[in-house]
Amino acid sequence: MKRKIFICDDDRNIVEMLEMVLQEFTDATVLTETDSRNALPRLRLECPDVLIVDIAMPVISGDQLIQNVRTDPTLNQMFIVCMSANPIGEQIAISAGADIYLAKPFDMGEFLAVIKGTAKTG
Amino acid sequence: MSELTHLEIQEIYGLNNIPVLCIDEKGIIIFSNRAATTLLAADIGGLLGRPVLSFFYGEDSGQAFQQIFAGIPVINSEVLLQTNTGGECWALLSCHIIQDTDGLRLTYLFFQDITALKKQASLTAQRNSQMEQQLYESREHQARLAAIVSTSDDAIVSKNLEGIITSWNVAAEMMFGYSEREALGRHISLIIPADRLAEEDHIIENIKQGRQIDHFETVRMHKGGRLIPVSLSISPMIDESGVIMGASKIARDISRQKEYEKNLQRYTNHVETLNTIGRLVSESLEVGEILQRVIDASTKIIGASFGFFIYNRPDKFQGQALQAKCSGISEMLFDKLRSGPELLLITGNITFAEIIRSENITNDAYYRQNDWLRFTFMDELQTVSCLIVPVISASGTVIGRLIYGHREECFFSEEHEKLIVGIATLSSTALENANLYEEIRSLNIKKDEFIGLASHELKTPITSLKGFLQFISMRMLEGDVNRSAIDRALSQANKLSALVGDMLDASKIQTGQLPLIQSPFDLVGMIKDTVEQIQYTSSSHHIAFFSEKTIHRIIGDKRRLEQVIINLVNNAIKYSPEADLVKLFLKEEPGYAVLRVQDFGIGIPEDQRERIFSRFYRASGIDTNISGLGIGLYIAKEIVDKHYGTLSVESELGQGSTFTVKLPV
Repeated sequence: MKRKIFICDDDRNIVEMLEMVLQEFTDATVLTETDSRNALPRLRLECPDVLIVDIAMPVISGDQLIQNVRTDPTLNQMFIVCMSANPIGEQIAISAGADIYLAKPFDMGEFLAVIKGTAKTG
Repeated sequence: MSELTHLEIQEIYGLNNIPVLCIDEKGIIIFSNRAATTLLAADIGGLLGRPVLSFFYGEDSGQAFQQIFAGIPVINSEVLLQTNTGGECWALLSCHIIQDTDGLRLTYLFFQDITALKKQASLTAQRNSQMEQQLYESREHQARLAAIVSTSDDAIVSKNLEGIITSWNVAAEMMFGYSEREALGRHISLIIPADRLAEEDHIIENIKQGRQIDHFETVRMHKGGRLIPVSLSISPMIDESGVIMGASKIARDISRQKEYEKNLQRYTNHVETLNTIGRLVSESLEVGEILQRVIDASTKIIGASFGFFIYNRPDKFQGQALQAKCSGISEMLFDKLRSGPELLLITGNITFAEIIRSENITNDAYYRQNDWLRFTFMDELQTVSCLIVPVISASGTVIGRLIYGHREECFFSEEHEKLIVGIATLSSTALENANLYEEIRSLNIKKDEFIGLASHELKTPITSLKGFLQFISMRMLEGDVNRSAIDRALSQANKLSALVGDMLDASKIQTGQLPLIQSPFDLVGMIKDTVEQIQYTSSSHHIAFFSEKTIHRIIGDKRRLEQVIINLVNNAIKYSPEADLVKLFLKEEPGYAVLRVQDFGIGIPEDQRERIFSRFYRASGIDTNISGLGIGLYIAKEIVDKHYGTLSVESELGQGSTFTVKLPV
């Protein structure tokens, strides 16, 4: 069964770039969302294996979303990769409950290594 | 006697010690006894046959001889003789005329030598005349002295050894208020204040021993009781026989001199006070602290019961515009005053620029008409005296007010007022400086916030830009014609990313928000990897890394320390365009891992070595084509400092530089 990866970032460029990379270099099914308000209902519906999420998003921030996921008994097994340009993003991400943090701008090689790593652990 | 013959007479007088001469009718000397030769200093031969007139001169002598030649005898007529040797001698001349046997007239002249007497008399006369002259001179001298004494501005007083006043000049009358009549015969303690009576014993003691006292500064008392600062010069008075009989003293009124001295002292104190306050306020750039320091120091200096400093900060700043600080009042009372309507009313008319110095504000009509003022100053603070001075800015606006109060009437002097006006001026300058500083600081914070925000915003597009470029690069087939262009675009995107990262870091350091995420890691391995990574992008220099094998793990922020090495090595490459080698040495020293990054480049002038670690500093006087933001070393130093390590530099112009990182292990 194909793995499901869900990308949530308010920046459409990032979302589409990551989608392209993942479709080209992995065999996962990629789902995307640019409005974080829609994220939680869609996550509940889709139950992806991996969530790639930005921190700085309007209305519902990434760390809030992570906390929501972590406190939801149906979703708490999800592997969460958090990415941000915030200098203290790592602290925010890890304390919210993310598994891995990537500081923007990150290298695609690094990104792919992280995603492939989730497959082994998962 | 008339019956004696000439010869008989000659025989009688020959041996007589009374000089005797005999002359004939023509005045020729025909006889001389021995005493006469002695008188006239000539021998017999030299006398006989000479006209007697050749020995006489002077008018008196002439008259005597005319009488003698006329046959009239003279008795004790004073004549002046000239001796054979040219000397002078005075004599009393008497004569005796006889007829000799031939009927010729002979005249015997008898002399009594009175030269010695005469000389004595002359001497006495001369002496008398001299004495008269001296007496005259002395009188004149005394008159002169008396004139000086009476017209002197200095009081001149003499007293005897018992201290009884014996003379008292006009100036003394003026200075001490006693007339001469009142003072004479009184004891000198008349003008000595009770607490200085002992001085007189000391003075008299000196005078008795003949010692003079010069410029003794003390205080004497006026008839009316007023004290007069004086400078005394006292000399012993000695009579003709050398006995000390008293003292004369000259007293100079030095009130004015003392007043000058006091003024000078006051002026000096004034300047010193202003200096002290100036120093106090210039040490601070925080408005509240300046207000507090000024009010504390000034209240204490002028001795006020309490003081307020009310300051109306210019509107351009946010927050509370009106600030007040107090001194000499309990915090509780001050809070009450500050929170109540009173302070607002005091400060409501803050632009009022007049100085108010009230001896008793309860007599003040304005005060009486204003309940709030009465409440503030009377009921709560029991104020009677009051001093209010505006603080005026350089542009002439009233920006605050210094208010002092005291429970006593007439407490504040003109002197206090002057001092507070000076302090108000100082405060105004200090407050303006503080405002400028605040303005700069707030602009600086805004700038850092902006840089932080801007670089954060820049990172998002860079992420997708890099991602897309890498995506293209990864999909490219071997030998694709676009490979070189894409790789270069990617390399530039990486550079842009690094610059933005540095900018963000610098702004975070400035706002104290550069976080460290610390964990143990392999230092040698990290350096090796980092060097490899840099070497990968640098073709101009070979980067050589030498390490001692003892160091394995340290605790720190691996990514940040990597950044330090990247910054140092990139700098080494950047500032050694002519060289092709950068060396790194890792050594262990007690308690520290020490990394040296050595280049063989242009070096750093000595005067710039300290500044190279400051923000936005870029080496001056070098090739301006060397690019950079001037924050690499600043970030590196901050990271090393946060690890409790040190970053230092040694350099020689034209030879290169060595940066040393010491990290605790």
